[in-house]
Amino acid sequence: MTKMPRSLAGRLRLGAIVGMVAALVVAGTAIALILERFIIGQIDQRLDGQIAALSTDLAKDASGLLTVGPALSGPPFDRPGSGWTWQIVGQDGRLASPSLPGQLSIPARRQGGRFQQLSGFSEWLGTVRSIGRPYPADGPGNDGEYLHWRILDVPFASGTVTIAATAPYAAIYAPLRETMFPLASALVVLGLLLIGAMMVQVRLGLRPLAQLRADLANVRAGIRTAVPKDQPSEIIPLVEELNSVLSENAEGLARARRHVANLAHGLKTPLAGLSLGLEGSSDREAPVMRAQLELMERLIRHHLARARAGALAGPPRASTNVSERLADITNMMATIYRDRHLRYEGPASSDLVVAVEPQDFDEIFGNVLDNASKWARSRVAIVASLGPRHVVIDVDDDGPGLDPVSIPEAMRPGKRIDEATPGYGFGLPIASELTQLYGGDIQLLKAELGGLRVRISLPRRQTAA
Amino acid sequence: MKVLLVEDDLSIATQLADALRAENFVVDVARNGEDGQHLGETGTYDVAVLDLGLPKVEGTAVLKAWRDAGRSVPVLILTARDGWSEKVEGFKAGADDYLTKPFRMEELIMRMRALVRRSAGHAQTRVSCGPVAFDAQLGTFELDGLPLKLTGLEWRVLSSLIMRKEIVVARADLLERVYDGDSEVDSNSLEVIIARLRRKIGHDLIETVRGLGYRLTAGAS
Repeated sequence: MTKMPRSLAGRLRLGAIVGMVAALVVAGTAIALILERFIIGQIDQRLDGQIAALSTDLAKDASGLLTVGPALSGPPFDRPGSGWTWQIVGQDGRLASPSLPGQLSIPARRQGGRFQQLSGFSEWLGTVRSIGRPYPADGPGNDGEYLHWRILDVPFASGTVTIAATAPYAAIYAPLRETMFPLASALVVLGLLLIGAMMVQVRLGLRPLAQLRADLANVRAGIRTAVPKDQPSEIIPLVEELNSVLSENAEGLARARRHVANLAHGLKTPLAGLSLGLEGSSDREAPVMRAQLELMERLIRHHLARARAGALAGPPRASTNVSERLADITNMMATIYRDRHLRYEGPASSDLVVAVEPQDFDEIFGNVLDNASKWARSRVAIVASLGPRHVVIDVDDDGPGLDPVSIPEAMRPGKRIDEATPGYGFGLPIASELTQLYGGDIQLLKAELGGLRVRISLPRRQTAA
Repeated sequence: MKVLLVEDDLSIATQLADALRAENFVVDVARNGEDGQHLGETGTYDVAVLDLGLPKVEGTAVLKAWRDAGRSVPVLILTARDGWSEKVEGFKAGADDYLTKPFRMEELIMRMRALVRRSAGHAQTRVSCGPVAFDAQLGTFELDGLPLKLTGLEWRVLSSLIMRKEIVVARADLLERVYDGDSEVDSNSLEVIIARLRRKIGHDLIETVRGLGYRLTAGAS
């Protein structure tokens, strides 16, 4: 099986080039055949004229030998070896042009020319036409050169004589070659121009596909929510299909999140009721039950957060502006921790955008900043910088920091480094899990301010294609 | 201190209201967003506790409506939604604090008192006026450094006055903060309570401003 190029452009180009070359070869051949017939027709006219003149002029002299007037031996029939000859052969002897010094036997009828043989119709036509007219033949001359013959049997005196005239093949093919060379050059130039035009056409024709790819990349990068519909009519159905798949995906994600939120609400409201009920209870078991309730709540919180994170299907199409969103989160932290009078610094306003759903971004930085705010003495500083593929965000606090030994513990779900500090100990692990889902990571380092530095790298959103 | 509690779950609303009343709060309960929005826009409250998942009108929409209507009552969102995004949206809508269910009653009350104290402009938990001191966090009164025993109604009146010390508090305002929305209000009883308080803390501290209301003041004028 022939191997087709993988690209559409390659297929179109290959097909067009093959077709064009074939068309040009056919056109060139047809033109050559027509020209050949035309030239042969011209030569036939001349030879037939000579034969007619010879048959008119043919006579017998006093000795009974065949004779013609001297005028019929004029150029080009006077130069030996020119290939232009005539001869008359009859019972009463033989006459030949001065250009034919030796014997040259007349070839049999219906030889046909090389090209004439290709066409049965023309041969048939030739046969019909040659009744009472000279018929064509081909054969080698005395010096080996091929000759084009016209032969006519003429009744003369008591019997028939055969009058034959020849022209050299060169008389046909030299002008043919002369004409065909510029013609073939012109055809090649035409072919090149057509191929160039076709290349442009392929490029123009396939441009909407490249645009579609760029549009889809923008959707993936979260710049657009759907592929724009102003496309060529052939592509519109594809775009509609794509958009419905995209919106189904988005709806599925939203539905999954809604279910998770409903589940959270559904579970926590009765838990809150239970917990309030326990508070008034003087039962000895109350503290134990309360501890169990708290454990249940922690587990629900953890697994719901995980379920939410798991609802992230496929590559994120989202985007979140880092400084804008962090400003909202630090404003909230400043309100929550207002009695601590913490100073939140940065990040400097910038156009850094990460390919993360805003909700997940909030979840990551809510947990990290909440942790920083709990531990900070007076300052929480945020610095964001742009890497080649990621945006790196450092959240520093001036708290006591973490002992390097405790760092792995801090990332383990459910483990609280300091049981005395309020919080559920799931914050950093959830942030870490979400970050990894997006192809980023979290590192715990030592901050220049003295406390903990949480370094979060998240994939940057690709710029509009 | 008067609380607007907007909570659709009947058992939680009841338990909360009972616990808050036991802590001397005056509690109005709304069971859906529409009622909650209306009460918040028309009533006088020291603090509001707002659930987010409410029938008729969503909690955040209620909060926005209050803020758009110029109501600056401190609002604590009490919800089962514990996503940070929801918290961010809650605070952006104008919330002052956020507590997720399940919660401890004492933490809720502590936070509510802190909100009331801060909204009255007191940075410190202890507010004092002359010999009277009020611990806004614990809700306890002292007179000359000794615990002061008060009835529920007395506590409500005195706490309202001390949070606005040196400011005249209108009678209507005081009545609103002392009685539940659905209880029978007898305006004479306010005079009775004031008289009892004067006997307990001294006559000069509570000043009657004729035609306006009452003022708690340390400086004898």
